[in-house]
Amino acid sequence: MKKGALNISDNSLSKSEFDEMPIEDKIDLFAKNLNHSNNIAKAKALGNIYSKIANQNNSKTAIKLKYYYSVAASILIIILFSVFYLNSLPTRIIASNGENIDHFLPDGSRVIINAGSEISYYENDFIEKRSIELKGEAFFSVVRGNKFQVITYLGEIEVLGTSFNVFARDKSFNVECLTGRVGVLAGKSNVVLEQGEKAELNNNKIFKTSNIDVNKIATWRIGEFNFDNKPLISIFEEIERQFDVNITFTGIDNRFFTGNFSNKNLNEVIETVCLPMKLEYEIIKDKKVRINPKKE
Amino acid sequence: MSILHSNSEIETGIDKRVFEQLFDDYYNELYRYIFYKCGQQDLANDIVQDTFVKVWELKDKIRIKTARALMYKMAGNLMINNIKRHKTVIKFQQTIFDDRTFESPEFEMELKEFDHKLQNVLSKLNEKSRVVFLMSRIDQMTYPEIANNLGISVKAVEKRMKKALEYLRIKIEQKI
Repeated sequence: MKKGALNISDNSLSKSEFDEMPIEDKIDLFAKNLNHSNNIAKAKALGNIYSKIANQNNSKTAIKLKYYYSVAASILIIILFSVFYLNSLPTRIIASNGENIDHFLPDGSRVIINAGSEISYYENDFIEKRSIELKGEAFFSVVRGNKFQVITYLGEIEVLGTSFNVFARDKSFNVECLTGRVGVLAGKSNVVLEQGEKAELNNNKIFKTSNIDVNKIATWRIGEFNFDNKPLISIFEEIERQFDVNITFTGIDNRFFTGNFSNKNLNEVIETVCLPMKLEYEIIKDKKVRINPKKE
Repeated sequence: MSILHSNSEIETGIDKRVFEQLFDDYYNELYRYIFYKCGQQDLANDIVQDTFVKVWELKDKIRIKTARALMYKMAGNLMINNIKRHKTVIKFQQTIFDDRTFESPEFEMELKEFDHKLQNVLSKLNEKSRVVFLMSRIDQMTYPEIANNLGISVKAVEKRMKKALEYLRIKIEQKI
């Protein structure tokens, strides 16, 4: 018996029967006898499913692997960039308060950096381009080679092979030549120094002095300080740098100081300066110094 | 008798054995469901197979009780991605002619024409109504069963059936 057969006897359907059927029944009869069979066997379908599952797992692993590889590659790139970047940074040598630094440059030149000063230069092509930035004070002993340049905020120095001292702090700038020849460019003018000559910036102009005692050039290297008519304030500042102390000074003073001291003992130095200037002082725990004018 | 009506109704997760049981019970039914929608055999097979692949992916989270309806939903969703490029033309076999003899060749021809019209109109009937109609007439599902599978109310099934019957009646009578 055919499925869902409606009003039909076994093997026949007569025309009269059919013609009498309402349309809904005709539709029903024919609809129920519709059939559709799959063109692939169930077993094959299941096989396909398992294949797709396996492929998915593979591609998931592949994607995971790709992800890990790309992460590794990214990290590698970052590392490489960092290395390149770090290599391209300048070398900075910083002498903090209370210390001098004796440093050799890649070309064999020597620079001694005073307390509270710093230099910076590029290691990589220093021999080709010998250029150093200086903040503060340093003594240079330059071997022969390409043009050697010291750049400060206030002026520039150019040499081929010489030794000289550069002082560049606040608004004071001076260069003393110990040996060889030194070209100094500052305040829109330039001079050439020879042994025993000094260039100083004053009112934005360079003044050249000759016949400097070479033995007195850059004596700070051995801890000795000479002051020839220097403002008292700048002497206090140098003491602060040499001993890493803080000086508070009450009282107005435009006076100048001439004298020398060594940086071996703070007490001695303070006394050496204060006594002739008629100042009272108090040293607190080796770190603070209070100086006031002596009371009459 | 499938194991699907077992105590494990509340538990979550299925294993390979249950998976293959689901396949056995519902593959063809789901295949027909998608076929009713698009009329393409290869597409229907692909979609249903992909559905089972997804079921396997979710095997830890699937609940046996709701698996059937879930698979209908997933299969339907997979179909949405297939933009219809051609008009849906669905062709069935008409078994009423099998093993039967007819009074006259003319009568047989008349019947064949009717079948032809019916299948034509079926292709033009809107998908929602067509699917419900065929699930009822070919798969012999009850309205509650259809409602459960499609995730709609029994009332909604009734509405769609009504629409289908009306449409078929009108269109077939027109052509007569």
